[in-house]
Amino acid sequence: MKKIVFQALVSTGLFFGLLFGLQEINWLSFFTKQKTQILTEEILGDIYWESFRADEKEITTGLIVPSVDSILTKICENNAIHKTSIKVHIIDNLEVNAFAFPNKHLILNRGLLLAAESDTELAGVICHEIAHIELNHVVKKMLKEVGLSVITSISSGNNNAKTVKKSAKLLSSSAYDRKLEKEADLKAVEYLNNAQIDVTAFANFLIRISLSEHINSKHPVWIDTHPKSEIRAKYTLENRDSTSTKIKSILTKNGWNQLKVELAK
Amino acid sequence: MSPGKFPYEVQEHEAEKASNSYVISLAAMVVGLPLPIFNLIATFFFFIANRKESYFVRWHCTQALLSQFSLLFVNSFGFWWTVAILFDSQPITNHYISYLITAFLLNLAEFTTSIYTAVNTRKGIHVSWWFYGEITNLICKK
Repeated sequence: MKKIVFQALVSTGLFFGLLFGLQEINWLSFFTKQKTQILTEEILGDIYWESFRADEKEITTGLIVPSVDSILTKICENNAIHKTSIKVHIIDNLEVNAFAFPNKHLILNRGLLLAAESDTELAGVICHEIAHIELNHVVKKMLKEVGLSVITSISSGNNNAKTVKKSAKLLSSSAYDRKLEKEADLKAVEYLNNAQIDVTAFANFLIRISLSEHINSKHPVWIDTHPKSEIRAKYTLENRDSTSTKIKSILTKNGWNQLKVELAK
Repeated sequence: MSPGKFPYEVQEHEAEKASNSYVISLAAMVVGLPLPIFNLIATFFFFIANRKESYFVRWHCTQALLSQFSLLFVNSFGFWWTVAILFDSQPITNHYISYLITAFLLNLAEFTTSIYTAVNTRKGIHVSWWFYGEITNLICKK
């Protein structure tokens, strides 16, 4: 019996000794998984975006783009995010929706910009989408919704336009799971806190938009695909940083008004 | 692992059956990976089917069965960890990769040992494994 106990102890010791020894090596840097994933993401993101853009009208002129860019700059600068890596696209679509494609393509519909009553509300939504991007939720959602085989096929070039269009549509209109949404909300609150932007505006936006009172679209997709807004507003407010003074606006009052006028055209 | 003499002269049909218990575990391991329960089930049924056979056959069926338990625990843990990474947003960590390498080495050791034992038992040579051989001696009575 003593021999068995001894041999069991030696075997267990060898197993854990090997395990702990291997843990001392930085395996993550050995594997190029990250690099491969980034490359695949780049290819997929661009394919999806090109396919999506073919059916939509992108707004590239006027006040809208620089206004959104100012908000994005404020968020990125205060959260150590490379602003240039995020590719913002404003789409001339009245549906209240915002979403992200792989390779950091952030798509905002004109309908969503119209539904925001202040630049800080808009900042909240942008923070939420950036959080999805930065937390790698886009790839996870893509794997879940589109499937590995389709992704591999598209990224390797064996794609047909129909499949790409279908999966791009799916990514733009489907939800992340509840856990990922909550993670993104909490990360968005962190971004807003760091940028000294009032979190209350984001919470107000969530509640107001869910009531669909001031929405130009019949289908507020951004809310339909997200967890219950009251719950989201509650934990959003619970996590706000109330220790410092928050800015009430990013753009000037005149700048915001001009933006709203241009959006309404 | 130590090859040696068995208490009695092993017959041809005994050697074949004893060797098959390892072949079964090898085949089930290949088919069943990454779900380790398959090789355990396969060796268990082979063990049940041969429980009334000679001492040599029973002894090796028992050793083949017992040896699957460590793989069951190690591979199950690795399997569910992988599932958590794929479907539950868990990150790939250095610990995870180290665990996979350790599990792989254990599987490889088990695999090569099984082949070695299958070949030797087929020749009628008794092979007793480190630790499992001792437990088998306790469990398996003449």
